[in-house]
Amino acid sequence: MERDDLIVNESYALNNHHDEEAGKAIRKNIWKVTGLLTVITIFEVGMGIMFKRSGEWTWTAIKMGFIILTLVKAGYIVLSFMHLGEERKNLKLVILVPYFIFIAYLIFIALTEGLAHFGAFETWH
Amino acid sequence: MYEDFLAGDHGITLTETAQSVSISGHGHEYTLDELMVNKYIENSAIVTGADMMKLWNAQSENSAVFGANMNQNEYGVQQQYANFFFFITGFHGFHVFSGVVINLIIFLMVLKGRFDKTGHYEMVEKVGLYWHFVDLVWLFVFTFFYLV
Repeated sequence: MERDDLIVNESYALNNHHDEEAGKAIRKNIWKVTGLLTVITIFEVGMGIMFKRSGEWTWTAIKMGFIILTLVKAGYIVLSFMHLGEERKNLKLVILVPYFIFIAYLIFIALTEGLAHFGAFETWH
Repeated sequence: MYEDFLAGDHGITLTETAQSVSISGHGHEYTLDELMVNKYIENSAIVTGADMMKLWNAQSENSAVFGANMNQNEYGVQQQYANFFFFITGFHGFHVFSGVVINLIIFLMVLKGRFDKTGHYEMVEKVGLYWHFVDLVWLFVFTFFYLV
């Protein structure tokens, strides 16, 4: 079987020279992703302006929506701006899956700690 | 309404009029800031968070909070919010600043044709990765400090 893990000049990504046509497609994709991220952000800010902060379930649901949309945006940045999308599927999963688990865990910890702090302030003495 | 604001024998008295609420003792009047910064005032007077919030509301009824600073923000007595907010945004701002400087250096190098000369553009990729990493951090700062 032919080895495909060696860095030889032709397969080394940084030695690639894109022609004008390929460069156009790459730039088009960057603008597309930039537009998508902008649209998502405008939507989030719009929701923040339209809905009043409260302890009710609607605001809680919106906050959860913010977190999910943030993870979607993070995925787009890592996959296209940081070139992870050009890698093989296995490498993509090896990097993405542990990070998403870790970020979900981090968010859980942050929310738990925040609520604990809030409780501590309520009984400040 | 504010009887249980102060607990214990501490020589401090709370004066409540129709217009204002004030606390004095040991020869001077305490400000809300002092109470917020020093959780304990002399002789172990105990001030609880909920009552502190009441006093805050009474004193800030006719005043608006503009922006956020270490003494006053939209979360009232919750000073740790301000500490955390300025710690995170300050450090992120510094990262963005250094990213802008490094990107500018790369831009100048491109203008000088440095990467055509060396034959590869590895440094552009590295700086790009740094910039987008800072971008990624901003996503989470924006969500958790501005949106939520």
